[in-house]
Amino acid sequence: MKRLYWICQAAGWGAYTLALFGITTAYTGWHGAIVFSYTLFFLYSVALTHLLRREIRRRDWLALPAARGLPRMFSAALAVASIQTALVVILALVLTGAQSGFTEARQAAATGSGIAVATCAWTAAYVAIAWNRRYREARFREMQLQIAVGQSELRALRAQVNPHFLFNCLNTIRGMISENPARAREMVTSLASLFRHAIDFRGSQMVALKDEMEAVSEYLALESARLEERLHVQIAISAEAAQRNVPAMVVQTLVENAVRHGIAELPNGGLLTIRAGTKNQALVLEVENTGRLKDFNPNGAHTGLANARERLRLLCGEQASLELTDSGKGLVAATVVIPA
Amino acid sequence: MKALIVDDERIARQELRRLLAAHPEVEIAGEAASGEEALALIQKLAPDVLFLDIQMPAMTGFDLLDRLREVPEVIFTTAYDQHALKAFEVNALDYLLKPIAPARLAAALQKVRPHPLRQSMEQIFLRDGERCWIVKTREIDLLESEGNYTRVFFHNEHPLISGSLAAFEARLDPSIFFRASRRHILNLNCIKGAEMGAAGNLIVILRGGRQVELSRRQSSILREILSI
Repeated sequence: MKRLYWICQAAGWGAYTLALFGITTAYTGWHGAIVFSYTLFFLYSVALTHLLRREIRRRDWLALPAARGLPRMFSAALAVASIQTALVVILALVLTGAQSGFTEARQAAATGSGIAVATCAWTAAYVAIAWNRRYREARFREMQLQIAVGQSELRALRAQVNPHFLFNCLNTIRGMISENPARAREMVTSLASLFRHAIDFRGSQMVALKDEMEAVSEYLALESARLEERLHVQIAISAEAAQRNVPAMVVQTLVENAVRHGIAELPNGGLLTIRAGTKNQALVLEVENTGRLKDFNPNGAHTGLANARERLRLLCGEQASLELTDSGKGLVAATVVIPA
Repeated sequence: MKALIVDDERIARQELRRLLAAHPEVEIAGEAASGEEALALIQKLAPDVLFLDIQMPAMTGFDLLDRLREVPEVIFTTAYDQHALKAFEVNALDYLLKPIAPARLAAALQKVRPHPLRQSMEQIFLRDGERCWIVKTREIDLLESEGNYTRVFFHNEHPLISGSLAAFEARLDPSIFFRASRRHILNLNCIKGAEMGAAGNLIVILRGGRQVELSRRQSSILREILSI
């Protein structure tokens, strides 16, 4: 990119200088002083427009709307053209005196307008290229964000419509129909609202913790029916925390991991605890289960976790965190902290 | 036909029991809620067929089979593990997807039924990394020692299985399987012919054309067995 810029600079001003040089020598013939002054013209034109570019970047004029940015940039271009013209005239007078033809103001004005056109053309080309690049970069970033959100929605949906969960659940319902028809009916309702929640889910969405907990409760009701006395659940959420917003499906992901990779892996089951409260204005949410961290399946659990972490960062900023820890006392905890 | 149901979920076991009620020829000898329980019950009850869940805590269905000396007929029951079952290279089993469709259960039982002589149907479970087989022992042609591993030849497969040749020898029926040398055990029913080796020993040709060289001592024993 940098090299291309310098090539364009040299080629553009080089061609312009050569053209002027050709026209001039056609009238005056070859002259040492003319060669010298045009070489200098080439050099200071490159230097001055380079300074112009630096100034445009330093003042961030490209980021301004066109109506405000363009007048500023073209005024600066005209200022540069004036300096160039002044230098041409001064050098010509110093080097060749009366022969230069610049003794007439009309001649100087003609040269000046030519230079002004050239420098404005330079600026126009520069702005066009730079804007085009900015536009493409912005589009690229936007697309990246869309992809990240889209992926999270897809993953969350896939996690929710986890076939293992779905078919086990249907099997439990089938068994429950004859054993406890009322419970079977409840399970169908739970499954329906859980799927509605998953289908309505948008990766960029924040939801109140109390709403997220409704889906979590449906999920836990279904898993309790399947795992029976192997799954014990405790929930303690402060009234203040319940009103706070969390990225949709994050708690659900953590609870599902805790059941699937924690408690369901234990022959005698265990206890799942969900706690939420506020601490120095920050929301602190903890999902804890009986089990060991090494028992976690590296593939399944960690992709869900990585996605939850990514959405937490995208939606709640860099200060938000999600940590998975093994207490060493047979308890694994996932802790989410979302600053106020 | 004696059946054992192995599943960690009570409701799933009960549901299968209910489905099996339509098949009076199946006697449910017991239920196991874990691999450990199943191990003990298989010893005690010697079931003809296992209804085996794959995903169970502590010991999966595959882990359980790995610990059996000899495996009964197995019908896997699973919510969603077809990919794991695809690992099975030999069609020596069936699987049922939960919730189980009664017609599929009937079809699976149909496959189990025509084996009146379980003795000759002895089978073992083999696992080589991701791939698994349930193989009738009489279909094994040859076993070859590779240190702590044994290469088992059957059909067109020859997976490398954890376990020494001596360990396999202890599991196999000595009236069919013959220790040919320190490196080989061969199935006597697979011998197609024999040649004389340079040292006066036998070189046996198995079905499929594979040749196995016998030690001199084992050569004379084999001559006696085959009376040649």
